[in-house]
Order: sequence, then structure tokens, then C-alpha cells
Amino acid sequence: MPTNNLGLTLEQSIKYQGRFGQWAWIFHRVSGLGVLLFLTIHIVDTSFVYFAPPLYEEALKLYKSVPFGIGEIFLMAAVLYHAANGIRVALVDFFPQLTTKQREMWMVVWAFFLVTFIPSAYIMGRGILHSIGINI
Amino acid sequence: MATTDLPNRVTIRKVKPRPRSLESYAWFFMRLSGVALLLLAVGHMVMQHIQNDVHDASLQWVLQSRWAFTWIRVWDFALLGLAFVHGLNGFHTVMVDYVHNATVLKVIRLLIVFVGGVILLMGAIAIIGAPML
Repeated sequence: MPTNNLGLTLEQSIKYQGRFGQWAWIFHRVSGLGVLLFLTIHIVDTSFVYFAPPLYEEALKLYKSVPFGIGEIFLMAAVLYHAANGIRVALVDFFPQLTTKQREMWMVVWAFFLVTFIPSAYIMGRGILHSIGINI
Repeated sequence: MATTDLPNRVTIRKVKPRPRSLESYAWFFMRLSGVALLLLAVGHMVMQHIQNDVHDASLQWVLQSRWAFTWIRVWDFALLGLAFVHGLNGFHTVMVDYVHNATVLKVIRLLIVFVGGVILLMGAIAIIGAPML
């Protein structure tokens, strides 16, 4: 028996032929962990407003940097996907008759994601370019 | 199938339904908080990144344009509690899936409660305690 480790998990996650349900699950985990990582940092830096105001201004400088701005576009993607897919999971849990409509619901998740993410990424990307002097 | 001439009897279910486990409450919390976070978290992203631009943010801006309004402090407080507990519970679920050493898992659980608790408290104190302008 192989021992459980991250490498094996990743390998089997890719190999397993679970089709879209499996990908929905993987993306949900990865996006959830990513948002939690950001949230933890974000709670601590926002608490500086009260505990250490000068340090908060320093944290904001980091937020306004280009790499962090690109990270925030990924954060937006993670939040939007996690929200849409999470609602799908909750709906299937509470209305079991929806299990026959899994494929359609998966399509709705991606339709919601694309419709909300593309304009958001455009607006956020424009803000990053503006901050380095490029106006579009 | 043989027929029986036993009289009809009522079968009495003697198994007591099991009390709801802590895990089943956690499951229910994830769905309820998830629906609330669709408004709170996505709304927060829209306010901070679409309506406003992070590049315009400052300490002054947070105190004057955001936390000067009680409803935004209430929103942030609800978002803080629901999102962070939702996230920590999700992290716990992932840990249970991959960590099979009971002692290590116990340590991780303690860390989630105590480190998570301290961070949650820091955020709560800041939202309530920051000066009202």
C-alpha cells in the first residue's frame, strides 16, 4: 500500500477519470485554500488600522504593487468560481432531483464565472496599468 | 415466494435516531454561510475592486469612506466571522483527508482553533475599536 502523500494525491487527482465533477472538486479545493491564505493575511493587515496605523500604510504599499495586483485578479477568479460552484454543491445537496441536471449546472457555473470574471479582470487590469502610468 | 399465514403485524422501529453529530452541523454551516458569503464576499470584492480601486486606498480612506458608516462595519464584521470560520472549516476538511497521523491531526486542530481564534479576535477588535470619524 502506498502511503498517502501530496505527490500521490496530485498524481491520482489528474489520472482519475472523474470528468467534470472531479475537476469541480479540485478547483473548489484549490480556490478555497487560496482564498483562505489571502483572507488570513488580509485580516491581519486590516487589523493594523487599529493596532498599528503607520504599518497599515506600509501594507497598502504592498497591495498597490504590480505582483500583488495580479494576485488580486487571481483572488477575484477564485472567489467567483468558489461562490458559483459552492452554490451548485448546496443546491444538489438540498434538492437531490437536481442530480440529473449535473452537466447543465456545471455549464451554468462556468457561464456565471466568465460573465462576472472577464469584466472584473478588465477593470482590475486597467487599474494596475494606470498605476504604472499606462492609461487605456 | 411462499405466502405466510402470519397475521399482519406492525413493525416497530426500535433504533433510536442518532443525535446530530458536530460534523453534520459543520456541513450545514458550510451551506448556510456559503449562501450568505455569495452576497458578503462577492459584494465586498465588487465594492473594493470594481466600484473603487485599491490604488486609491489609504488609512484615511478606510476611516472616512468606509468605517465611518456603521452598516459597512456590520457588513465587515459578518464577513470576517462567516468567511474565516468557513475557510478554517474547509481547511480542516482538507487536513482530515490528507493527514492520517492522529497526533499530527490533533496538533493541526489545536492550531486551527488557537491561531484562527487569535486572528479572528484581532480582526474583530479592529472593526469595533477603530476610531469613528
